[in-house]
Amino acid sequence: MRVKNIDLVPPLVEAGKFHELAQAGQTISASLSPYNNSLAVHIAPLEPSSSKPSAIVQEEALYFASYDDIPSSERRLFIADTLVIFSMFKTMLKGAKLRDSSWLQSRDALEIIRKLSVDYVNFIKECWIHASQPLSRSEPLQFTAEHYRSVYSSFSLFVVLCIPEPGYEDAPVGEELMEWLNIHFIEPSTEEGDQLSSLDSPWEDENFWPYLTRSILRGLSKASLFFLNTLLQHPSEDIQDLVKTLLPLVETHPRLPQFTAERDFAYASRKWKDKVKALRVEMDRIPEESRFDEFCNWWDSLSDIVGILEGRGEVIQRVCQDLGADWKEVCAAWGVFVDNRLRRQDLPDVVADVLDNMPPDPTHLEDMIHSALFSGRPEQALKHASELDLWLSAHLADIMEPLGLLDAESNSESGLSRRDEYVLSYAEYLHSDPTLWRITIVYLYSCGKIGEEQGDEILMRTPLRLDAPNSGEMQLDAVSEVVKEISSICREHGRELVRRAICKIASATLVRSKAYGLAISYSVSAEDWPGLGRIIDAVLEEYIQNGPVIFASHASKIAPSLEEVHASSQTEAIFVHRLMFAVRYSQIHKMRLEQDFCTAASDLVTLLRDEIAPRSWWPVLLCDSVEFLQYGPKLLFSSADAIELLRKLEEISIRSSQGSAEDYLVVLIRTIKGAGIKEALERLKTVRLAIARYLARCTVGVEKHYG
Amino acid sequence: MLQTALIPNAHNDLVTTAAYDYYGLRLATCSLDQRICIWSLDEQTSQWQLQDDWKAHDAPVAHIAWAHPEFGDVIASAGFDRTVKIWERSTGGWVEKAVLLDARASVRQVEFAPNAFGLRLATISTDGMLRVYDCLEQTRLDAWLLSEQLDPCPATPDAAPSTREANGGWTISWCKDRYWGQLIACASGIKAPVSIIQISPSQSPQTILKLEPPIPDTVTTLSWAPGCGRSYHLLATGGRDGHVRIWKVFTDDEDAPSWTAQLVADFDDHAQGGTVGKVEWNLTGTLLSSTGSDGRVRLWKATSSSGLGGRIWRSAGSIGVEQQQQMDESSV
Repeated sequence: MRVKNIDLVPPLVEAGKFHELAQAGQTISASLSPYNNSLAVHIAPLEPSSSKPSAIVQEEALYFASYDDIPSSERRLFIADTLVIFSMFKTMLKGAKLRDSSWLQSRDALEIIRKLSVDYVNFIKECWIHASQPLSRSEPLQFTAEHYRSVYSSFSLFVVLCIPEPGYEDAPVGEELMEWLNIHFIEPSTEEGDQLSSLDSPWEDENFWPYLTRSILRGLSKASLFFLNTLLQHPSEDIQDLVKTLLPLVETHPRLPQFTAERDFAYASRKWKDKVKALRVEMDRIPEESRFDEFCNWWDSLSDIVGILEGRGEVIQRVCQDLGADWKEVCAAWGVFVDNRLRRQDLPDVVADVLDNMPPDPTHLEDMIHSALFSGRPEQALKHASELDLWLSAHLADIMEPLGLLDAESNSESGLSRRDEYVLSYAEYLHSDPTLWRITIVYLYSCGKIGEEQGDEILMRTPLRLDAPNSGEMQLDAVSEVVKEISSICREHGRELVRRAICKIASATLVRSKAYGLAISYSVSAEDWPGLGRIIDAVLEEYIQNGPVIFASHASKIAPSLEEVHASSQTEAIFVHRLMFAVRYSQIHKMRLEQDFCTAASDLVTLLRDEIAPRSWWPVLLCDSVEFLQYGPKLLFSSADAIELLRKLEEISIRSSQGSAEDYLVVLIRTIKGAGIKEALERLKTVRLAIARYLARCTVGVEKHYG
Repeated sequence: MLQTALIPNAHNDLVTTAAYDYYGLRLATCSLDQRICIWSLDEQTSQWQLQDDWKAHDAPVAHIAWAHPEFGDVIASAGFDRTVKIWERSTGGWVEKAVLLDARASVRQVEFAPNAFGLRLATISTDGMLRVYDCLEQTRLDAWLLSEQLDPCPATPDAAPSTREANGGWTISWCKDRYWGQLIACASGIKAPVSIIQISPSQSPQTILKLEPPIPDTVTTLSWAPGCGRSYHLLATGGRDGHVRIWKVFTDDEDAPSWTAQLVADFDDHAQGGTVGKVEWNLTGTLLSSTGSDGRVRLWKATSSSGLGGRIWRSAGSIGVEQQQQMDESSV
């Protein structure tokens, strides 16, 4: 793991002098942020026990640092684009679980795995090309083109070695390895070729033989043939004769892709090799003294080329060392010339021998990844990959597990499989940018129980953004977008407890901004009944604190919630009852303000008669009824209604005198600011009087009741 | 590792605690200057702005903690004036809702219980007492019941109160998982082991386990890692011996739990300077931070060792405030 140590600016002491601060009673302290992978750092008192305010004012700073490199815009694009493939892969694996357990080894499955892996390779390639372009960028590249090239070469090597085309798992691998090498590590260079081809006698150039040898080694028949042809102009007839034999051999070198059956390929190769042997005999006949021209020993160089074609391992290895080529080139050439039927499973043995003489560069991560892949050591490859780029190790591991390259069993201590460990590390890195939370949780939720619970934490800490200033209820609908989005993610991943927890927080937040309607919806959605109770209390408190006008203004907002509550069969009856009261009571005030007295009066009686109103609210409702009782234009209550009002009034009076005044009068007392039981009972006397007068009006019978 | 922001003059005296809110969008800081500041993060610019600032106690403020957002914008602060105060943000700023006066010495740490257990607050003070309070009326926040009060590590009789105050450590941490019931880890006093205490409504608090390091020393800080699906608990401790220790705490039998603690990591990197000041886990319990009087913030991560099925905790970097000599990017 890469360890990085930093010091923050502005520095507080000279290097190595923190002990001076410690002697002055100071230490360092830090807090980790749940928002991203950062922390707040500050100087703290070393011994709080002797903490007194300092005699002098000293300005104390807070420092903030991130312990991961926060993805830049180009990196975010790469992260988002490759997520698409990761998700498709996940969907495929999910589907596989529903099928026969052997399906993942089937041709169909392997075809999909290969296709998606090739998609990754193409994406990395595009990213590499993009990073290579000399564009003017708003911010410097976080990862160089060279970095993406390393990722590209590693991922494509993985595809070549581990995900062959279905049906070709057992086919020789040499040609594919050589193709990979030629794509990613181009040699000999085109410039060199151009330069040599412009010469009349290229063999006079010191680069001629190395260039030609490497072209042969790389199986680049076109370039090889071109320069072999130039040798036909060489002053030595011996060369000309040998080249005349060599040319058709290079031209007709049997290459696996030209054959449909391996048997034919093997047969053709054998025949061809015999011809190469014949050329060797012919070469050996050239006398020692004729093997030089005025520039070099052409015979030795030509002998190396023939040695390669003959498939002499020691020649290939020596030639590679001379040419400055590394172990990869030896291995690829091995599969083309030495053992052209080399199978994937036999490759590690060959590689081990080659690496003994030509070890990989331990300071070069890309080389270490390649050598581990060549050696058939996927775990080792992942370890190096994770040091190069957490993206690479996560996505390789994700594919390696279903291919059976990694142990799918969990580590007994961490509870994680190898794959999950690498994917979680990547997800953790993504958390350094909180705007990537949607992507982060997709990776987390693919990692078993531990990943799910980590995902839950990230999801629950995603800011709900409900506290937009001055947002009315209409706007709140828009600002609760995040809650909606998280809810749907929770449903998709089956994280019901998280969904409820978030709804609960949303509800509590909305109550504080008096968005009672939405608050109730969320509370019901979270099945948080005590929370619902608190919202209803808060709504009713509006009446007590702010009076009927404000209370009524909440009526329309909370009315729809009643239907929701009825729709939710889970709701506990007591809360339905209380909510019904709050809604209907606020509606009564709304109707009253809109002068719809008939309906308001009739609803008021219903709330009392059906005992929808809690007892503590009866006195308040009765006081409200005075206005209706005294309404001049018409009679708003039937006499039976009026008697119902009287009955409730009686109950309050009797119970109050029996010591239960608190139970009945508590709300009324609170609405009459600074009042007590006495004042409340006094207020109720005016109700009694109003009812008496009303009944008198009824008895006279002149007026008609409009029910 | 890179610096992302700076508030040059946050307080007029040393900051005792900085605590992020649930979402990490606000940071509460308290200081020897007796004040509390609330800073809010501008997500566009990654800069912090002062949102509120007030004098909170009549003595240095020792610690501060946020309640879970389902209880609103609520913080608790602990002071050297022996009080714990509960604050709620309203439209006009932060309002003092309650003052808890039970401690007979300075209160060193406050921590709200996991929200599943309601609005509960644990405090530890240098009188050695662990106190647990319950809010009686969540909407009003003004009435708090002292529901538990215990001395988890009774002091040895020869320890004079003054030396105890100067050389002791007082720290608490709730277990974040609801599944195990209410567990709180606690260390108080001098060279006392960390006690894990189970609190249940039906019986008095029980000490279910004590963490005993190889050589006893005063624990100054501890932190219970979020569980996040692990089959065992992780607890980190730091002490006056400069050691950061990670303990694996587990039980074999869920029905009749008998708890075991195993020391899985022991780092003495802070020992050069003396005391470990604070240990803290990240959100998912995958990274531990520790700070010490050697002047560095150190980060620790676990990596699986290949083959053996074990895990090895390794350094994942460090942060200091010294003049930079040169960037150290060594590899291990």
